[in-house]
Amino acid sequence: MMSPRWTQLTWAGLWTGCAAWLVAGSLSAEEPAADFLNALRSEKYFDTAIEYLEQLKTSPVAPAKIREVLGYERGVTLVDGAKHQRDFGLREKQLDEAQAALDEFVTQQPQHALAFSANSQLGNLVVERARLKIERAKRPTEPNKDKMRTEAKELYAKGFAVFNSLGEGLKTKLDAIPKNLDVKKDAKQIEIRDQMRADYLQAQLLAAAVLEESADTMDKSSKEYKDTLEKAAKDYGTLYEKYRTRLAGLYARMYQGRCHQKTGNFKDALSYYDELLAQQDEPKEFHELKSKVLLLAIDCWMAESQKKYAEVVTKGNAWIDKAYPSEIRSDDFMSLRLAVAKASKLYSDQLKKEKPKDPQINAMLTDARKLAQYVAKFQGEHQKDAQKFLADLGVAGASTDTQAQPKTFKEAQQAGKDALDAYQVHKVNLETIPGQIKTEKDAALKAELEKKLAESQEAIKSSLGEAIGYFKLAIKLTDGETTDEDLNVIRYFLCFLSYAQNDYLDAAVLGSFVAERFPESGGARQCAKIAMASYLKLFAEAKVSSKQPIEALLNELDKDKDGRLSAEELKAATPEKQALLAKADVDGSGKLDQGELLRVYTRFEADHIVSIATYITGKWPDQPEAQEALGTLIAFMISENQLEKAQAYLDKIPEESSQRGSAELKMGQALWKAYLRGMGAIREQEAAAIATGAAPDAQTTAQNASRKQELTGIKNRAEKTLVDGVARMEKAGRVDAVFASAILSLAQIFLDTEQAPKAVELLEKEGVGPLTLLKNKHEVSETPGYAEETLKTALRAYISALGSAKGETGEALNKKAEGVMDGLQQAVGGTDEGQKKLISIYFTLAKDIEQQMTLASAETKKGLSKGFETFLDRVGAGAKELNILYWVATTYYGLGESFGTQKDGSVPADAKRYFEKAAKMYQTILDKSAKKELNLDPQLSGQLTLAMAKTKRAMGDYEGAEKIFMQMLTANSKLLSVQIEATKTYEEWAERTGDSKYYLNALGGDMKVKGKKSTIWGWIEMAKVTSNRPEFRDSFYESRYHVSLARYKYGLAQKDAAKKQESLEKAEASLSQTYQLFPALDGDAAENKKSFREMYDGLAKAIQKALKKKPEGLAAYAGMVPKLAEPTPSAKPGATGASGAAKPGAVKGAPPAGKPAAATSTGAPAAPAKSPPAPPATKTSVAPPKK
Amino acid sequence: MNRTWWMLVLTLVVASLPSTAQAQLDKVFGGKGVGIEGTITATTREKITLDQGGTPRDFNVNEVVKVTFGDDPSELAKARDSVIAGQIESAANTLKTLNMGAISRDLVKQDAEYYKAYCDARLALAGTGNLATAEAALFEFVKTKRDSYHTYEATEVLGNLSLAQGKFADAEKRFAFLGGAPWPDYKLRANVMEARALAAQKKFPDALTKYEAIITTGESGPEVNRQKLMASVGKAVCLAETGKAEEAVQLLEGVVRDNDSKDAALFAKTYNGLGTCYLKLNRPKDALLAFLHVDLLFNADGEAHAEALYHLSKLWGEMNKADRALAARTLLKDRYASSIWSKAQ
Repeated sequence: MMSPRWTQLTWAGLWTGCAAWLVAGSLSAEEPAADFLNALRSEKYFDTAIEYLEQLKTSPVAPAKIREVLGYERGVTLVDGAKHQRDFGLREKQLDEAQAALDEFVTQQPQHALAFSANSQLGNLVVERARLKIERAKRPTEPNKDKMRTEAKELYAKGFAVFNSLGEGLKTKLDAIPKNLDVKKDAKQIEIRDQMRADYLQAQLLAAAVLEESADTMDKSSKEYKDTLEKAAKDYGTLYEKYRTRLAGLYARMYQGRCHQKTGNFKDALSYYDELLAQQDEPKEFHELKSKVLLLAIDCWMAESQKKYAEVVTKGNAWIDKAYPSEIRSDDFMSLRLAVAKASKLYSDQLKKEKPKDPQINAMLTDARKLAQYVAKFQGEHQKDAQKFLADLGVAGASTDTQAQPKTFKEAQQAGKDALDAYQVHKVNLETIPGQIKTEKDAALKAELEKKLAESQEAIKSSLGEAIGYFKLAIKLTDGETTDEDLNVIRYFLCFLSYAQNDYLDAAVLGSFVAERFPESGGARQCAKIAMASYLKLFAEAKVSSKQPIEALLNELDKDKDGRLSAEELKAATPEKQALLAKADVDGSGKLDQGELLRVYTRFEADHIVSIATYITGKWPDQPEAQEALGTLIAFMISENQLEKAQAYLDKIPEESSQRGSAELKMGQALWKAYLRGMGAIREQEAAAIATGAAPDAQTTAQNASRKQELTGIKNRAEKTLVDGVARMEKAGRVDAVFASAILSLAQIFLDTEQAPKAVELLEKEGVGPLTLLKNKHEVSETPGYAEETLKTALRAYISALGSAKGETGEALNKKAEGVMDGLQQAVGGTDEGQKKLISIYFTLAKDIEQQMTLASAETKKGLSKGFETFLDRVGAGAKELNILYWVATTYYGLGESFGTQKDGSVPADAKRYFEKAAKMYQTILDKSAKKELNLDPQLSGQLTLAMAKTKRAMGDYEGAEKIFMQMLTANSKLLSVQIEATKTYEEWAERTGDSKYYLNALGGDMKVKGKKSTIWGWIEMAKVTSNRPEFRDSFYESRYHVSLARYKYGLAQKDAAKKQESLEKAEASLSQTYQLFPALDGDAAENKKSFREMYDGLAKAIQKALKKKPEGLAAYAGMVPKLAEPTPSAKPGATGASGAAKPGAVKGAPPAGKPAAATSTGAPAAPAKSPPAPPATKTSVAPPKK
Repeated sequence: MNRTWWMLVLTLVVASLPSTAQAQLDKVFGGKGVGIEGTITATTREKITLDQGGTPRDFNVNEVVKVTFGDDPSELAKARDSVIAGQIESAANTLKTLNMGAISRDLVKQDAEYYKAYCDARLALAGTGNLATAEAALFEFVKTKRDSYHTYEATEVLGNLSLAQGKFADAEKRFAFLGGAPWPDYKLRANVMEARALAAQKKFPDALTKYEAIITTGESGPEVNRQKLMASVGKAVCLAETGKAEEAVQLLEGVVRDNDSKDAALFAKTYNGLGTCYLKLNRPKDALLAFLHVDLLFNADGEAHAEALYHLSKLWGEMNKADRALAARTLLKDRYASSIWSKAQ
């Protein structure tokens, strides 16, 4: 590999600026553009130079001459700037821009005096690209080293061709110039010819140099490496022969020798070097050349095959004595001294072996020590080597103690870098050795690897700490010679190491500082990236750590225990807390919910995430980091439920960006969730309206219509975004976890939007379809849950497609669906635990099908249900497995539910048929269980019994349902979920049969035995039992709602006006009382807290209408809401003595007698399940109440 | 024969040596750079009288570029050349090595004293040195050497020193004295200074009127024209300060387009003016480029350079180039520590 010094030797000598006009144009009567541009470049203000060139385009004072060459100057500036750009990505971008500018100049002005220079710059640019690749290949973390080298090689070949072609072009032109020109008459032509000759020589030298440098990309032991260097040597030789009287010719000779040296041909190399060393010492240019030649010659003499140490000592010392004052501490001479020192030591060793008593031995060692000590005294690239050499010599007190505390910035910087290198090595070891240990069969080697691993495990922490310590010390030791760039490199390392050490705040602060204050510095983008990652980590930590203070805050201030803090409640807070929460009410609701409180406690982190990500996107808009930042912003905004902002960020990611696809997938999924959430809310609202029997008012209808339209837009956007994202990711050919998950989501969306065939097509798609990934055992398909979710979706897709399929296609789909079921069985259900999991999977599948049916239009619903029914019949008929039978029953139930009720409250015929099939299947399961053909655990048995009762209710068999409920609750009355379903049964019974007495049962329970507490409690008791129990908050509000609803409906059903009035007034009294005591019916806007406001408001309006009052809803009772500044102990859910609705007795901390039980080992269903029954061990289980 | 030969050799040797009389001749250099030799016998603030072989010849001070004395110490000669080349710091350093006690001729001693005071004053104006001390020393010279041919030049510098210290009345008085010189270019220069004093007091309309008067004067000549250009630059700054920055930019662009950038002082002021205009027009990038011209190309004039560095330190910061901002600030503090721009930081 060519050393940097060698590279410098070639290019620094060869590359000369060709802007002759700049001198001619300087300081004339106009804007001194050329001088200014040169000054900017020499100050390395390349960015400013580019801005200046932009300004010149329109500047009225720009000289005409420079206007002609703005493109050229831009190209030159960018190439120069690229050399100083440490960031690979930015360097590459700058080179791209330079190329575009120079290409345009050459194309538009091929005859311009600067055309050759522009073409040379283009060749230079190609070489710069090659160097970039080589630099990247050298990075320890670069995964594509070989690819980088191959690309570099191609670029060098291209650069070589450029310079060759330029040379040939110039030769043709030179040949066309007459040989004999008259000095006086043809002065102009002579001037042109001389310039062309110089250009020609330069082109040839550059071509040979590129060829030589291209060998860096090759395997040194290869024939190609040798051939390339021999060819370069030959080219240099030709140049030497032609220009031996010029300095350039002598340099060519030196390079020729160097090529031979690289191939190990020291003989030829040294013969050329000797020839050059025999040249005169003066003038200065010769002296400089000879210094360089001597260094190369020393490398040869020191080679293992040569060992000509005496030669080095003699010639080296002689030349050191000839150093010009200005050279004494130059890099070349420091290098020379160290080389001679090493040679002296080796020579003394040699002598010791051959003539142990030779007095030269000690003299050599003394010389070696003196030379090395001189080098070790000065900062520079050889200092460390010299110190190490002295240590090897055993020289005491010669700065050789590697453990000594660094005393200068440079020393500390170097110590830090060494420690960082050690850290990286240990890190790589920890990543790679475990794999090697696994595969290693040789016991001894295995033991060695294990030892190495243990050492790295031990050492990684200390090296990390050391590196941080040294870099921090370096910052303290900053001196006058420390540049900003030096400091920023240290800051970058510290930023990286702090992150590695989980010191996220340090990493974030340092990273942001470098990124924002020194955006042009080498590590700025990486610093920004680390800062963003650090803030994300801090945000996650803050979310966790904020739970405790939020809880404490609520305990202290939330007097009404509604989980929110009102303005009144906040008055009791300390001034510090008031200040903290001053602007926290983001939604302006007047109360701080938990989401808003969380934002207060994570405001710092959240603000910084948005800030740094926004900064990155603005600062480096066309760099990959910007797109990553946008991806972060999108994900963050999605998690904050700010979809429009997320969309705006998505729009900023260019379509061709590699980040676009994954961002679209995330966005699409978020939109789809938003759609489902929105539709769910509307359906609930509509269900509540139906329950009250009152048609929604015009305003609500209009609002719902508008919301539905809006949601349709969101749905369409979701689909389009996902389709685009999937297409983009597919095109990029990268299948990762995000992509695999998104393509599955898209298939699910297709299913829920009545496009089952599309879903099938997508699932089966070659290469990327989830089923294909599963089949091919792609690594992403091993993500936990992916296989089950895919198979579940596939099953739904096949049976959904059945509805529209005919003949053979239908049969094929049936078989595919059965195949999927087999696949599921194999994938999950091998063990008892697996069987339970299968039941859970099939249960959620049934829920998915129900959702799909609910979302479908009436027409599609018919087709879909037909498909499902066909398949369920087919599967159910032959199935023996519990999970299949359970699924078939649950799906039938779900199909029935999806048809809802007719306007008159009756059950549609299709629904009835499905309920019957469901009941039959549940019965089959229970029968088989009784016969011990199926093994049902008590919990599942309870679930099935409840499902059976609900199915009977759905079919209108209320007595049958009541019977089952009574049996269950007699066994255990504290099963809240069963109590709720049983009470709802009375309500439905009254509703559908028109027998209003069941409303009284709904209120007061079964009342089977007079004077004894009902087995089925009824809503009033239920409200009492659940009062003052935050964990049953929803059940409490629901119960209180139903108390009013049942009274209202009972009142409506009365023919006697007085009775009617009385019941309606009671209904209103209980509702207004609930509201007065608990005006915050909104929940806390947290995901898990349901809002009851709309339900209550709708019922209030219905009651008010029935009482012939103005239907103002809850607003009518607003004036009656007591001030919460002085909360009373009774202002708690259920803890009021008014109206007998929720009687005292349920005091905080003292569970009511009828405490609902959390069913775990009771053999009863665990949760107040919404229809249909929940499978075992799902999230809907109620945790045991706190004591 | 031998004697004759020896005499001849001796004569040739003597003839080949510079005669004592020739070595001691004074020289007065005019605009064309040719030194007219003789012996300076008298000076006033307006005239230098040179005796040429018994014939006195008067030179108007405004036409004299340089005066050298036959018995100039080498340090004085060198310092004088440095001053003319604008290298004030170098001149001041050279003068520090000058042994005043070794100078016997009064005129030479006076000249050395002047250049010492002058260099200190210029350095103080550029931000290196104490303004009041420098002013006192130069004023002492003017007060005690009333007939020095440096009087007007010294008065101009004194006016600038007053201006730099905010002593506007003193400045006006001194510029008025300069305006009393019998030459149009001096009068114009005084007017430019007076206008600048007005501008420094933020009396922009008054300054504008004064600059206008200078620009439209019927006088001509190289130095007059230069003063007119200086007035144009001053006018532009006033325009910018009175809300006509666009117009000011056009005016300054004209100065750039039509003049030789070898006049570093003019170009430094012009680019600083442009920078100021762009700042008014909220075009920070253009302003930065303008001030950078001064920093990188026209930095010989310390006052102008300090001004440019002050703005650059701010503008680089605005452009998120903290390292460059720091470099500009450091240079300003190091090189022009006592300048108003450094203090304004």
